[in-house]
Amino acid sequence: MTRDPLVRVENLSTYYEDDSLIGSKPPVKAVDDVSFTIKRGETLGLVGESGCGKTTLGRTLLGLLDVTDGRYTVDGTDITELSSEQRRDWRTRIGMVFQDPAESLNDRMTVGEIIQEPLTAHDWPTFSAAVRGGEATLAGDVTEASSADSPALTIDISGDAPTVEIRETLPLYQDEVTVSVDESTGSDPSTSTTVTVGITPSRAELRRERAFRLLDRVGLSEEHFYRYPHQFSGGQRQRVGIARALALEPEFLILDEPVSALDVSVQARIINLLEELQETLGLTYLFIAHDLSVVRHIADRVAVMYLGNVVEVGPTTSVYQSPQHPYTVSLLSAIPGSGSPWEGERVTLPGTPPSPRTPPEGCPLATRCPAKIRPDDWSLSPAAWRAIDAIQAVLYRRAGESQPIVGSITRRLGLSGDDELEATIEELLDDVTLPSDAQAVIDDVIELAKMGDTDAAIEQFSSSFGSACETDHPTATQHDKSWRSACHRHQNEYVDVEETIGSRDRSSAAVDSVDGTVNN
Amino acid sequence: MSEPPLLAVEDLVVEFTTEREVIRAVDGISFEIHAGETVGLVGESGSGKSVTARAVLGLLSSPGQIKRGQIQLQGTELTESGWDDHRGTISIVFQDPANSLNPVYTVGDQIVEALKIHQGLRGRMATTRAVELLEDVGIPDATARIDEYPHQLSGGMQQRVVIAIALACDPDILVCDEPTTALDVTIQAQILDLLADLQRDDDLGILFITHDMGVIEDATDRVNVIYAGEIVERAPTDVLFSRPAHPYTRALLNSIPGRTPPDAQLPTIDGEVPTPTGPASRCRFAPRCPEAFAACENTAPTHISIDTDTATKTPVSEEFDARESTVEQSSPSHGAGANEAATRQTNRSAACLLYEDSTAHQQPDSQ
Repeated sequence: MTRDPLVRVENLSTYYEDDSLIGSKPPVKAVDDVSFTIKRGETLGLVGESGCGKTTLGRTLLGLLDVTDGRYTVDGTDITELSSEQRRDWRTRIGMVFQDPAESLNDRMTVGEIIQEPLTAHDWPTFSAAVRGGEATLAGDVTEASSADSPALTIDISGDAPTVEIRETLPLYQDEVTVSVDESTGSDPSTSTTVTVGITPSRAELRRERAFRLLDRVGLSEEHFYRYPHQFSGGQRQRVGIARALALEPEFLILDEPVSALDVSVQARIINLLEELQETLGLTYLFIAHDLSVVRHIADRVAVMYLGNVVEVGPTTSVYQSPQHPYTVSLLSAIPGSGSPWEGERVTLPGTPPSPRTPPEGCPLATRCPAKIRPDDWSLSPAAWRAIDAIQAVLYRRAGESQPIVGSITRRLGLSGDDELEATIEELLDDVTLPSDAQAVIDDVIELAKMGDTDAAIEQFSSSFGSACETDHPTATQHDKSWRSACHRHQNEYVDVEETIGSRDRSSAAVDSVDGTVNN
Repeated sequence: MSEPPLLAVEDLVVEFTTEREVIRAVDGISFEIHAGETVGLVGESGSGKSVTARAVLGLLSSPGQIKRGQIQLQGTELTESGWDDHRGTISIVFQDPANSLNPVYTVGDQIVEALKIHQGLRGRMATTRAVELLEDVGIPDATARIDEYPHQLSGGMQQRVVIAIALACDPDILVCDEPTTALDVTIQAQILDLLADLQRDDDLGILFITHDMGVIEDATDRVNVIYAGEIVERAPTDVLFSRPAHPYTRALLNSIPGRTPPDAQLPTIDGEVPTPTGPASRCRFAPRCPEAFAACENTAPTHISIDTDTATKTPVSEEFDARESTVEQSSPSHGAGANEAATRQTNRSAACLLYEDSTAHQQPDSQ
């Protein structure tokens, strides 16, 4: 049982539908067919640029967003199949810490109220009790524990006097619980025993006590209970956020950029606190961050997300040492300073990610990939290929933006042309001479684009200069038991990613230096 | 004799007077920027970095005011003559591009506005120049994008536009206040590359303000480390990272996650950055300093220059040690004049009693 991963995500998708009266646009595929697992007590780092879907994924796993497709199980329970009632109970097992502690805490509540809020909302604690050492009916302040969760009280009636065991996280003392065993009532001998339990402190008192303990747990003190969030520093506020997330004794914490808003010295203390809590409470973390150095420090395994896809997932040390996916390479090489594990030249991705509403058909990275597969039909110089990539980027951007209706109609009718695009493309090809057949394709593309049919232009472009990267969605290649990435270059027929990037680096450096001498 | 600096800030003190107290946000800061170099100002939030930037640009607003010190821009004393005649010489790029741009004007309008004010360009001339500027900052398809509104651009593109606006007045000095903090790493890399290119083309002097040590390491030639309104250490970038002299710099570097082995606890700095309310009577870092001794509590340290070769070092990890050996050979190549200013530029110094002669023997050994 404990060998199984705590969290299992299979082919999970979360789309934002956008229906309007006039007609529905394609949905935003924020999370698209994502699979991974998180073992008990493990930290999975989730990295990627803003807009890649990492926060949506976090919110989906918390149950704040509906799953569009796929399965999501925690501890064997399929969350997508739960009723809303069941889901509410289940949610107590997951905690969330948000990025900006200034915005995620209510300014009008004291810290004590903030930490107690989830306790009140879920009517904590439920005095569930289990009886050991005999059959008995429970009465008094407690309810029968269902077999699934660990009971608040375990009452042993086998001895002369009943003994009570109190769950560790419950701030209740032995002398606050009274137990009386009554065997005389009832006619049926097997269920004749009644155990009556009385609990002295009220739920409110226990919640308060729990809040005090939580404050202590996260390195704050009792005096902070009565203060308001604005009286705290950023680091202290994040501690309050963590205390609140821990209130309902979750086993799985989703940490959405928990240290991004903090200074390095404060950040270090919060990271240490999170690691200490994980060890003592046996927590499982999903650590969402864009700071790759932080993830390297805290995560056991890391998942790299791009445009709603997990492009690579594996043990942190392996992924950082020899990244397999071109996107991971560029991400690691972009870490500024000596923190970057990548030893070659910085691999800068051109442009920005495409819209998740209209993702590329093939590989999600195809529009920006530094190691894209070139078709064999052409023998072009590296500079020419770069110009062609740039043209493609311009076309994709044009396709993504909404055209004014009048403009697009006049263009389709051939009444006006998109001269800007032609000028841009010609400028991109300024320093490059293409072979005549390649130039002919570009001319066709310009002609189509001028007519306003950008989609046809892209299709024409891709069918000539595209490769598997544009047409086929890459499937994941397993490098190791828990390490996989999705790139066409993992197939044997292609040169691998690292070698490709290395050789393109050199060729572009060579070309640049040639350009330089010509210009001078 | 080397060229005079573009910008020289000398003993700058900025105070904010509130009903309760007078906060000395910047307390006696001095630094220089020469043409073609990038000078870093690094520190935690509340250390006075941004206030310094605003003071240098003459953008301080009440209750903040310059209490003391000089800001010399190409030989002109700005604190006396005012900034108005020099606005075109120095410009600034702020942290959040979304807040720096006006959402109801097109990108082109906003660049043209700057061109109109600073260069007197109008009409077609201004538009053509605006397109050129957008191309200079690496925006593809500039003729189309000039008519777009800020919300139609991504964060990285927006920051490029902000840089284009800053360049519209053809400045000699660019102040970058956390220019990449709001951006993703891959976009940050693009912007850092862009700034380096622009600097090479125009011989810009750049003041680079950030809290990110990694960015400082990549982007700057020299660094000033600021703590509670004071510069506590200044050094050429490679030296600062290989052999930090001030205990605060060391602590700051140690707390960066990438420098500690993943299974080890991160070293931390206890306590909070104090808010200075008057002249320093002691070392402001002393309460948090692991190397503090009795004298630190009653003596305000002054800057002491440190010989580059003999400075202390505290290796953090083996990886860090290995890196150091490669850095060791490179010597600082910035500035080489014989005048006093150039001496300050070449040398490294730290405001710490560890380096006072009388306490020299207390210098911490490398572990």
